[in-house]
Amino acid sequence: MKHTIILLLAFGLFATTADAQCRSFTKKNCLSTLDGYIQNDNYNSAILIPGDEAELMLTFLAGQDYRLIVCSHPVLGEVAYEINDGRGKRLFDSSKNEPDVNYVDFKVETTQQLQIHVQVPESKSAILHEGCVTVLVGSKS
Amino acid sequence: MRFKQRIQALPILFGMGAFLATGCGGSQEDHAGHDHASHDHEQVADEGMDADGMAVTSRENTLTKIFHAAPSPMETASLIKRSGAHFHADALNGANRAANYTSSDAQAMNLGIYGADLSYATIFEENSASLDYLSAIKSLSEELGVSNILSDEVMSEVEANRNERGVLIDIVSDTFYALNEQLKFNGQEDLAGLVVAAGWVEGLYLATRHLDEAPEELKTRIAEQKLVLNDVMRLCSSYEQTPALAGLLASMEQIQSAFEGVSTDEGEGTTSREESGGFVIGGGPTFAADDATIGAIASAVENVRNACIQ
Repeated sequence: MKHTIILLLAFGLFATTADAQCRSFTKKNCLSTLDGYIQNDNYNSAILIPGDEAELMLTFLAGQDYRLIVCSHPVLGEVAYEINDGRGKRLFDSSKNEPDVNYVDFKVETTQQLQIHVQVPESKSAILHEGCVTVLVGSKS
Repeated sequence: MRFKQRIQALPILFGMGAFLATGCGGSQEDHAGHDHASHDHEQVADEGMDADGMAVTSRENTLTKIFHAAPSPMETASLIKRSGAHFHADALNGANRAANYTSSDAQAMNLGIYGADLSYATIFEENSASLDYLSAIKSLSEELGVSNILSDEVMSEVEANRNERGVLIDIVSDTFYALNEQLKFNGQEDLAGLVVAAGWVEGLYLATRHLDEAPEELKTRIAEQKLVLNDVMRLCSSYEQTPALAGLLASMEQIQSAFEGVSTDEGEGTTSREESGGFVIGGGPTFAADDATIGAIASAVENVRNACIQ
């Protein structure tokens, strides 16, 4: 019984610690890039490893200016992201973006759902690292 | 003997911790795992994430993490104002009703309702109303155990900047981001879902008041909310379905039915770059709804909203 309690406590401790560090990473390294924009209310952060992908489908409203930020720990390398329309047509590819920054500013002429696809590059290292990846969306009128 | 048993348990603890750590607040349904075919990595025990959010991983298979989000009530309030509509104080849920909400489900739903009312009041620069709603939100969030999102320090900042619309907008958006983050961190994603869903319902409710004086642009903006409803339903369906969350989503099916009258013309997306460096995404779908459809949406939204504020 005592061991079960220890196991459950450890369970919670590890998950909470990793989660807390991802929150801390986001606060420290990502949120300031949204200065001047109203941040979307949704917290979207995950611990990813090389080769992982992430997706976000979100409606963007006509008439608003948006900033999309894909903020990742440097240990993961150059995390790429692209924006696709509702039909899957690629509208933006961060790997072809100049200057090389982790955000893109855009607006939409009509209200539409866009899919953001994030790709963590593969790694040839023998030891793989995991790191936080956070997707933030801000808007302004 | 007891010491030896604890030592034996340690690798299991590390393994379980590493497994759990990969979730970062997401549910298992959010992950679509696939083989890490191009690598044959040595499995390394998780040594714990450092303060910068990085660690050696024990995971061998890659996955696709599905994030969910929906536009904020502040965005809805902005589009109401831009369309030329007027502020209607009588449409809001009275801030003095906050004490009526005693269960955590009702508190979460009305945090969403008050968040939309606050966004609406702030966008329309009704600063006195904004302060009332911030106080109501502080009170409900304390009841829910997330009191740190609106500290006394933040409330003092609000008081000092009560006539600064930009500062108030920043505080409101920071507050609701922190609320969402804190509820997810606490493992109360169902409550985060109630906040988001009820907030969207209230935002649309406010947009549909006084339709007789609504400009055509507002009706188009309302029709476009068909897409946002999809976002909200997808987001909330990804969370654990408690009776309260499942009940709210079920009641929102009448809104989905009303939106079926909205017609959509699909258009192909295009991109162009502005001198400022930003992109313009053109093309895309257009939405239209006749007055009967808008009326049906308004009626369905009113039903759901009135049930939320009981």
